[in-house]
Amino acid sequence: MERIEVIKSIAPCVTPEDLVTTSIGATWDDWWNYKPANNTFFTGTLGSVTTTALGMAVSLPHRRILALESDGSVLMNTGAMCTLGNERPSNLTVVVMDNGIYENIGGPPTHTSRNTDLAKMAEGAGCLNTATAKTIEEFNERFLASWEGKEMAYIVAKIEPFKKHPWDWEARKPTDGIEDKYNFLRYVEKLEGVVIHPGALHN
Amino acid sequence: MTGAYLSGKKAVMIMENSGLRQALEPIVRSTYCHSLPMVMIMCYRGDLGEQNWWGHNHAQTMEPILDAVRIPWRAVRKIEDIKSSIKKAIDHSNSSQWPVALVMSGECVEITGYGKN
Repeated sequence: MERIEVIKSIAPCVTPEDLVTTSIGATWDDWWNYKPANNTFFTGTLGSVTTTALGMAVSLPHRRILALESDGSVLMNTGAMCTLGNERPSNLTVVVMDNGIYENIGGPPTHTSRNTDLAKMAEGAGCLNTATAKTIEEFNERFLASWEGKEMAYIVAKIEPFKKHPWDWEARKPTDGIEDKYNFLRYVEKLEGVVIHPGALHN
Repeated sequence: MTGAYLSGKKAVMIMENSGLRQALEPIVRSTYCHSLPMVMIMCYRGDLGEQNWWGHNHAQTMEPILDAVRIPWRAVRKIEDIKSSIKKAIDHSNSSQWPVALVMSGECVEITGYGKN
């Protein structure tokens, strides 16, 4: 199973009314090309994808929230699993793209390439509907059930290492972290009918 | 904090300054990467008058760390200043789109009888 297959499976299920966070790395460019709207916060902080999604899920319980995580990001902040397992927001689905390597820096192995099992860790932390999918068929079945379900879910997708989709330069995400923030913030303001940041107030 | 803010909620971080070193990477990375407001309210462990030997290191490291990562911070030591300080911190953080830290000490955090002989 390759990351791009997982992204292509997820994309048709996500509507502009749902909100998404993504991990840093190849997922950025893949999801940039398949996202249904500016409904995605492209988190630039490794280790803060699940926590950001958790904040959204608790703040907006009427919306579905999707976290596109990565093994490197989860391993950097494993304590987030415990907060997630205690809160169990029913509107949150976490998908961990687990390729067992730190691909963007050349591919040194992460702990999941040996003995660490993130789905079991999540289960032990109190998360519900935890699973590992090793084929795209397994993933589709799990994801669809979770995304349409009424409980939180934590799905680890075991994807092949060294299979970054070769996007042309023009197709890659062109925005920086600050533009990403404003894109997402303004999108939520319209979606929810609220003012989050009124802009440049001045005398 | 990031998820709540971007969802239109008001949030503050409440912790003791002893947790600052551990919490620093996500705080700094998120704010530098995305320019995000964040009001941090911490207990000033290690401020003048600290009675625990293990408490002093938290002040010794907190002060230069906050300066190094360019997070404006103020100590609040009088109860009458708490409300206005929090309001100013929220306004400052929102307009600068950057974190602000308030460090509570003095009569704001005194516990009657605790640590006294």
